[in-house]
Parts: sequence; structure tokens; C-alpha cells
Amino acid sequence: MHVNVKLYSIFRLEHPDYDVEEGLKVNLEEESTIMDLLIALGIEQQRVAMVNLNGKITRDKSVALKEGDVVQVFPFFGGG
Amino acid sequence: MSKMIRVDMTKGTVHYEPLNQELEAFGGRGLIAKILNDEVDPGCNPLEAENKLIICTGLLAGTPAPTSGRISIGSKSPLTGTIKEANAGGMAGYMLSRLGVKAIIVEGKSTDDGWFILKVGKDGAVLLPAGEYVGMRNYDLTEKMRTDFGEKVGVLSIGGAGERGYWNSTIQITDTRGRPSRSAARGGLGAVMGSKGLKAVVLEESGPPEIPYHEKELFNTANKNYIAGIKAHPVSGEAMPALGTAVLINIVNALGALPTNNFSAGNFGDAEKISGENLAKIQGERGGKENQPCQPGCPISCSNIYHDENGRHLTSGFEYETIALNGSNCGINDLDTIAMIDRMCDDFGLDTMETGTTIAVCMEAGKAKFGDGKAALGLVEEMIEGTELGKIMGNGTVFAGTKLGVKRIPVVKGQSIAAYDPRALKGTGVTYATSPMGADHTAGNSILEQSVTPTQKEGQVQVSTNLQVGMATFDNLGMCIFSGFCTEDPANIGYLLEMMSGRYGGEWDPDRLFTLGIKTLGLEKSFNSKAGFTEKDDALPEFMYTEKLPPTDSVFDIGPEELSGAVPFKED
Ligand code: SF4
Repeated sequence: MHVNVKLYSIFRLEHPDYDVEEGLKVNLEEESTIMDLLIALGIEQQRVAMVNLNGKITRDKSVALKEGDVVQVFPFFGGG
Repeated sequence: MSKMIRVDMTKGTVHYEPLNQELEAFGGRGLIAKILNDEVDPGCNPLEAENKLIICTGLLAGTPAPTSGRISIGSKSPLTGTIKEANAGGMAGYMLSRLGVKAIIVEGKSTDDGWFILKVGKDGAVLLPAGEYVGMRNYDLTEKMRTDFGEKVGVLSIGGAGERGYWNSTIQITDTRGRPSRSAARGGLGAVMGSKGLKAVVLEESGPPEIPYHEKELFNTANKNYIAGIKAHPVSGEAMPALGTAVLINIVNALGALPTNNFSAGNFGDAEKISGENLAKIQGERGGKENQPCQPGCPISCSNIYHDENGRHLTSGFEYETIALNGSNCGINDLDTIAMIDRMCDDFGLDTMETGTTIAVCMEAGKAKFGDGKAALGLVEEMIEGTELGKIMGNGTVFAGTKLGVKRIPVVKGQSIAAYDPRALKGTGVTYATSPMGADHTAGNSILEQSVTPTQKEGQVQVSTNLQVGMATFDNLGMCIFSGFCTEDPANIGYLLEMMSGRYGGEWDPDRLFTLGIKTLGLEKSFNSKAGFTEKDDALPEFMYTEKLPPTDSVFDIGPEELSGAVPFKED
């Protein structure tokens, strides 16, 4: 299955060919979880502060993904 | 013993005084709370002689502690009527500590509407006639000061907004490149300085300070470890150096808390266009810069330099709050327009945050359309020119909103809400409601809090209370709150305690450290209560309790009884 991944902050800087409009299309095995996706992206999970799955914030990385999901991945943040 | 300078603007005199032991125990925001409680009638008119303006450094000023050069400025605020402390980076704190001065108290009011500048150098402090500086905007003024007093001066100054007494008026502070881009922005402190007839304070270069360490070795070792802690933390070591505070646009948008069209939505369709990531991309092409220190030696260096499309400097210190409140909150998706507003505000001495929310209420009143950047620039121009509408806007969001008949006015205690909609970030909402400063994100922002869901009700009062104590403590140390992210690791708190022992001696444990924050909040609340504020004032604007915020559809549902449990501190 394919999921659509959007990267932010330093994760985006670490993927210099990242396309803002398109995001990243990632091919995963059926029933893969957010955790599996992070492994596929090469992002260590302890660097991930927040994941937004189809518009909803989730901190549970064991959630299973399905075809066409939009996954936004955020590193730790602060400031203001 | 540290010194302070007392400037009597009525008599035109300047004296040095030693600080007594009680005052020595405080720094920055705490010192301001103590002096205002001791010396100023909380019921006074903020723009009359009886109010005082205090400019001071923190407890670790002058040491190599990272970011310890913050300058705190405080007074009774004309915008809120409460006690007010606003702190900023830049050169002022660093320079003042090198001059061996912990605080400047400006009191009285110059007679015959005369304008002065205060010059502080190695050989003393003196009031000089402000002459040609009167009427100057901050960029021109600071440039002239460098010509007149030397390249290396640090400057605090007011622009036209402060001269004219706008309740939205800042005191601008020069950065490491001498530009007036840092700001003691909130609460109208520029008007207080202007009411006294003080146009600027110029601080001369004087060489390294003599700091009486109790145990220098202990301090130095702990300091090195603390800096390593800052650099090892993912936020202060990685995200903020790379992208600054603007990195928050996309994040707060994803949380559904990005103020949009006068706080009517938490999502902005064009967030990507005004994001920190896009800012870095554009500036990479134009020769602007990320990763700039606003004060010497900052290991985080979250500041930036913004170039216009011709590659010329337009503004510096272009921050998340400014971008969100003048961008998405006005429906504006163009970074260049927002950067121009930032530049105009720094130059004329307006708080960019209060300005953004004021523009948005004007848009809600039909004075311009949401999304119309040109019209927004026109509204700022009106404030600068001092047209009838401009003068109304110059007094801030609640004043303008009320005059224009707007019902949805996003303020607490007269100060506009920062760039996190409290319905989708409730811990920050509790802080807005209960901070003695009015709606203020730097008083305790729950954006980093992992223990609670942002929209949940439970636990937020405790979260906010802990944060408010932590922030008030850092505001005593005179350190930037961004250097405090790493204190979530107790080892780093340990280093901070050793730094305090090395500097001041005695046993420092977390209790003693955080008592600084608790006492400060207690003093501030006591000032406010004598000024007539009650628990009824600890509330968010009505519409935030009833109007659902898309996309989370959340309302603020933490009632007065629960809010009364936040910051339960008292000092007499
Ligand atoms: S972290 Fe940023 S705001 Fe704080 S002192 Fe450093 S450059 Fe200035």
C-alpha cells in the first residue's frame, strides 16, 4: 500500500529533495504501523514529537495504516 | 554589592545607589515586582509621574551563563493596568552588566515636555537633552547614536508610538549588529518611557565586568555542562538553531491552534506559505540568514535576518508570533508583507503582536478584508501617521475593537492573546487567563507539554502553574526561556543549581531556585489586587467559551472555579 507522508522542520531539511506540494509517497506492506513507516523513512522514533494522521493528532505509534493515509511527521518543537 | 541608577526626570538628577540585600536576592522580573511593590502605588495613573520604569538584568547577568544577557523592563502598564514585565534579548542586558549596573529606575516626569536621553558609561550616568533624536524612528536613531557615541553602544529607545503615548508601544533594543530589532514589546512600556520624557538610553562599551563569584571553578564547570545540555536537547540543539521560532507555524496549524481570521479558525489553508520552512527556503535564495544570536554567545541562536526580494536587509528577529498574528490571523499569506509590517513596527515602536490582533479586529469591523495585505500595511501606516483611526488602533486591540463595535475581541486584561488559540491549547489558555501580565505566551506556554492532550480539560491548571513558576524563575535568572527546555532533564537543573552556588554561594536546591518564581508571581498578584483586579479578571474572552474552533471543534471549558486554583501564590 501507499501512504502520503508530509515532513516538517528538520525532518524536511534532512530530505533535500522533498517536494512541499506532493510530500513523499511511501510504499509499505499491508498492515504496517506508524512505527514501521518511521523505520522505512529512517527517522528514529525518539526524535518524533507528534504525528498527525489524516488530520488527527496521535502519539500512539502502533496504529495501523491503510492505503491513501496522509501522515504528517513532526520533530520536537518549542519556542514562540 | 551591585549598583543601581536612580533617574529623577522631574528634577533632572541621576544618582547611583547600592542595592540592599533583599533586592540582591532577585533579578529581572522578580526585581521589578519587588521594587514596584515597594515604591509604586498600584492605583496610580501609569502615564503620570508617580509610576516608575525599571530596566534591569537578571541574577546571572555578566557571567558566561548562556543567554544570561536578557534585559527586563517593567512598570505599571497603560495597556492592562496591571503590573508588567517584558524582557528581551539584544545587547542592553549584556552592556548594562558590563557597566556593573543591575538596575535603572526612572521616576517622575520631565517638566515643560522636555525630551532627554540617558547615557551610561564607565565614568557615570548623565541625562542629556534629546535634541535631534526627538521624533526619530528607531532605525535612524540607533544609526545616529552609533555615529555620535561609538560603534559599540547598546541602545534602548522608543519610536513615535512611545513618544505619542500609544498604549501599544515598545521599547526597542539593539541586537548584536546594532539594529533595533529586539523588543520589550508588550504592555505599552514605550508610552511609560515617553511619558517621562526619556527618548533613549545609550550604554557605552566598558570591557568585561568584575563578577564576585563565590566559587568560580564550580560555576565554570557547571556552566560548560549546562551548555552541553542545551546543545543536546532536540529543540534548543537542533530545531531552533535551524529554523527559529517560525518552525511553529506548520506545527501549531497541525494542532488546530493557529489563529486565523481573528481567531475564527485554528487552521490556515496557506500555512505552508508563511511557514518557517518556507522562510528558510526563501531566505536561502535571497542571502538572508537563519541561526543568528540576538545576544553575544547564545548557543541556540534562534534569530534570523530577513532580506527583501532585492536581497536587501528588511528586518531581523522575525518571529513566529509576528508571522502568525499578522499573517494567518489577518488571512495574509505573503511573508514579504508580514516582514514589512514587522519592520514598520520595530521602526515606529509598536508591538507586532498587539498590532496583528488590532489589524484583525479592524478587518472584522469591515475596515479591510481578511487576506488584504496592502490594506493591512495601510492600517499600520495610519498608526504611524496618527490619523483618527490610526490613533484608535495605536491604543491596542481592546480599545480599537470596542470603538469599532467588534464583539469578538481576543484579549485578557486588556492585552491581546498570543499566537496559540487557547481552545486548542488549553494549558496555554490557563496561562493567558491567570498570568498577572494578561494574555502572555512567555508566561507559561504548554506547547511542549507531552503529559496532556492539548484539547483536554483535565490537568491543564497544574500544567500551567508549573510552567508559570518555571518561566518566572528563568525571568529572575535573566536567561532566555529557550535555554530552559533542557531542564526537563534533572541533571541539567543540577548544573543550574551549581551555577547559582558558584555565583552566590550557599546551598541551592530546586526548592530554593523555584521559590524565586513563586515569590515573583505572588508579588505580581499582590500588586494587581491592590490595583483592583480580582479573580473575575482571570478569564478568557466570552466567545472562546461558546464558539467552537474548527477543526478541533473545541471550546475553552475550564471554568472560574478551576482557574482560581492556578498560581495560588501570595506575597505581602
Ligand atoms: S535562544 Fe534566540 S531569543 Fe533566546 S537568547 Fe538565543 S537568539 Fe536570543
